[in-house]
Amino acid sequence: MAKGQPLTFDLDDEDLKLFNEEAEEQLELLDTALVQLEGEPDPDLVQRIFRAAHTLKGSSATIGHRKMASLTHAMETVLDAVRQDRLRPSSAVVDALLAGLDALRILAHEVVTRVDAGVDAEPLEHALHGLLQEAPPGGATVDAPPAAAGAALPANVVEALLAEVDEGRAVFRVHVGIDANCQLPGIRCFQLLQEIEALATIGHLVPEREVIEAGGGEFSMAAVVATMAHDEQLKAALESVADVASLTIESVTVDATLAIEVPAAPQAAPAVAPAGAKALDAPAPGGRPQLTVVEPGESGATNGSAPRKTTSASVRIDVERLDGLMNLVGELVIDRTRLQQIKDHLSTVLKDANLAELTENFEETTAHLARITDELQEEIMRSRMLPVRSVLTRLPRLVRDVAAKCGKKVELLTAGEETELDRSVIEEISDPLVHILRNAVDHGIETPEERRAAGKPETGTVTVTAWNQETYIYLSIQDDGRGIDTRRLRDKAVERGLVTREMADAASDEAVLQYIFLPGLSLAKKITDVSGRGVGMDIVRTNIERLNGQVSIRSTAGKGSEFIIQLPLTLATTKALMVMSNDTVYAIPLVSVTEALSEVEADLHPIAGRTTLRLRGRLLPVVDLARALGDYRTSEHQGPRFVVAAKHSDRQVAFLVDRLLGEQDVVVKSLGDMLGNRKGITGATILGDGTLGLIIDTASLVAATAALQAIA
Amino acid sequence: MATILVVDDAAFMRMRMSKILTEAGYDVIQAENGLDALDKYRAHKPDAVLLDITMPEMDGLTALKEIKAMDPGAKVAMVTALGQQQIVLEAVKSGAKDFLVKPAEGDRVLATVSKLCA
Repeated sequence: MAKGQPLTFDLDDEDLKLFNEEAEEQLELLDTALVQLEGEPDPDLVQRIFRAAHTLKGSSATIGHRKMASLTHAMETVLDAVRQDRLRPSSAVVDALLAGLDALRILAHEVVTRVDAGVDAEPLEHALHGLLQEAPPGGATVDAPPAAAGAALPANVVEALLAEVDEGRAVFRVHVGIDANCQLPGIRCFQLLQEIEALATIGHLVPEREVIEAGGGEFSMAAVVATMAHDEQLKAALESVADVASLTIESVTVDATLAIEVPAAPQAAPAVAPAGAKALDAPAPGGRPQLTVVEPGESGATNGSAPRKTTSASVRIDVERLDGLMNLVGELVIDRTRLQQIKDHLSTVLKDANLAELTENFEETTAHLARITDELQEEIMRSRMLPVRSVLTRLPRLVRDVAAKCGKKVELLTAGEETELDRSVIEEISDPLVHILRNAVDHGIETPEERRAAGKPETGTVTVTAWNQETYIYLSIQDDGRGIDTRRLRDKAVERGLVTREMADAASDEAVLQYIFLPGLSLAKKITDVSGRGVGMDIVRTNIERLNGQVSIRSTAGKGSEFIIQLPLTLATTKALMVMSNDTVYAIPLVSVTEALSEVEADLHPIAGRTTLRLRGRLLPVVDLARALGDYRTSEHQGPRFVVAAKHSDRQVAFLVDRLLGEQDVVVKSLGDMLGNRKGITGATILGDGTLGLIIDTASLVAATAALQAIA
Repeated sequence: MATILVVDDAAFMRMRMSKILTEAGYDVIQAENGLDALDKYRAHKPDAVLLDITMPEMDGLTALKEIKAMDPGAKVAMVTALGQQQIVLEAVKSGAKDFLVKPAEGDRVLATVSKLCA
């Protein structure tokens, strides 16, 4: 197959969804876990990784994705060796597995695109197999468990068997493979054990009797038995059990070399696969990709005793469906507001008409509806929330890669993984977060030598913390590196023509730190392939602000830096200050509003022909909001107007509006493609009386105004 | 043709199973819970039983033990949902010959029944 060729897989749309969801889950798990594999392989971790690879192998084989199945098989083989302590998970091993993982992602995506992405998996597989050359063959190490593949039987077992032989019994080595589609292989193992015991004395059993009796058997079992029965009788008895896919019974000679061979525990033995043709493509235990929490193939080892993995009792809901619900709730919210307005109106009209009771009833009902709507909105919003963990899990790998590339030692600590964020925010925040983290490792953390010289531990620490406060989510990325050199930052900004020397020298260190967000500024001494060319931080800020969020920076020379990202809990609704200008209602996101005051009490000055607001020691340019948005009609407004100060990063602008209407939760609706990208407007919302309100894009308005000022 | 006792408290499951079996030529008797199953077993002496686990009045495991006490040669397959492995294990220890995991496809139901009756 060559790149660009169409691919066909054996799955329909419903299957595809399951396949994707499962594959994504397993790939994610591998992403986090493989990094931890290096050095200290906790057996549980190794087992989890092995299973993930195994599940991927199974599902890819089931849908006929041979390349993916083959690569996962190679990875699984290496992991099996690690699991059996035959291979030390050195960084070379982890590197090879990570390279495999990268390719797996692309291969898994091919299932969606149905186009060959041109991945050449062979060198990867070759590298993986190469690792095994150094590993001793199975069971050869001293501390291999007694029942490991190919291990010789313990001396006392051999002795007992010899005694049986002396009594005239024949000794057979039995190997049974259970159909990979069997959903409860543990039960089959137990049934097989019952059948064997009815006819024979068991000398040795794999897995151990206790395991099988507890229902912990898997897709294969093996035994060395002594019996008076014929092998034909044994065969008939074992075949009476359903789902027996393969069965070998061989007569053996009892001596010290007698070994028992059993494939790796949770693995569907190749022998189980339907004869020949698809040996490698042995379907996963359980066959089709499964969504269920209980994985039939894996259930044996864990069922009953320890749960496989803490999986919350949850149902997966299509995001589209949730969006639909959210939309409906949005409509409901609008109706609620309208009802309240009608209520207010009715109350005034009806009060005198001796209809007090009716009014009261109506008020009660509206209040109730309002409460229910609020709760419903909250609930549905929550159901769109995902723990930020799904983003954080990708970071250890990233830090490892970047640190390795720059020759640094970095430890990543994360906290607050449980903090929940709206799905749409999660999707958007990943890139900015990754970028800041890269910078922290590449620029922030010093080399081990520099750190030693500065009296710091050689290994730098980057801490990513997420937390929730009021209706915002905060993400902090903190490093204990060298901090940002404000002197150099000043020079750089001047050199790039971004600010004048006078401005730079006059600015406080705190203000200078903000330069880092200016387009076209890079502090890196040279361009690296890690952090790029300084096209980063300004885009990071733009992306965050597009989400109605803010990013701030703190830094102390020699001690390190901290970036704090503030994001709204959801993008579907936002708190806004409602204002009116030229009979049009505008919603200014509250996150950007710093102050709102009457024109009368505002400290307004004409400076160089422009109105300027003096506010808390700062001079803010004043712009007419309607005009800034392109509405040049003459205002017919009578009486005093109002100014609303809004900020965007370090800049503030005061908008002149006709009236303040108060704070409100607004449901954000996209203006759609019809209206195109209207500058300064991010969307619309329907107001209580059914009219349209326009949601202001504070960031672009403030930036545009500031640019205008610069020209003037 | 053999007679099969289908025990399930869910009417839909009983109907489905019965349909599959009847179409394959089996005679089918239905029971809605463990107690009902004991009565029907006593009255009809079916060749095989498909016995649901979770049922009101008397659960499948208890019913299995009672049926086995009544007729040690009874051929019973437990009908189970995923996640009930320990109960199935217990049932096998108590003499159940086989199991079916819900939802079971027609072929699988027939294979299980024919294996039970063999």
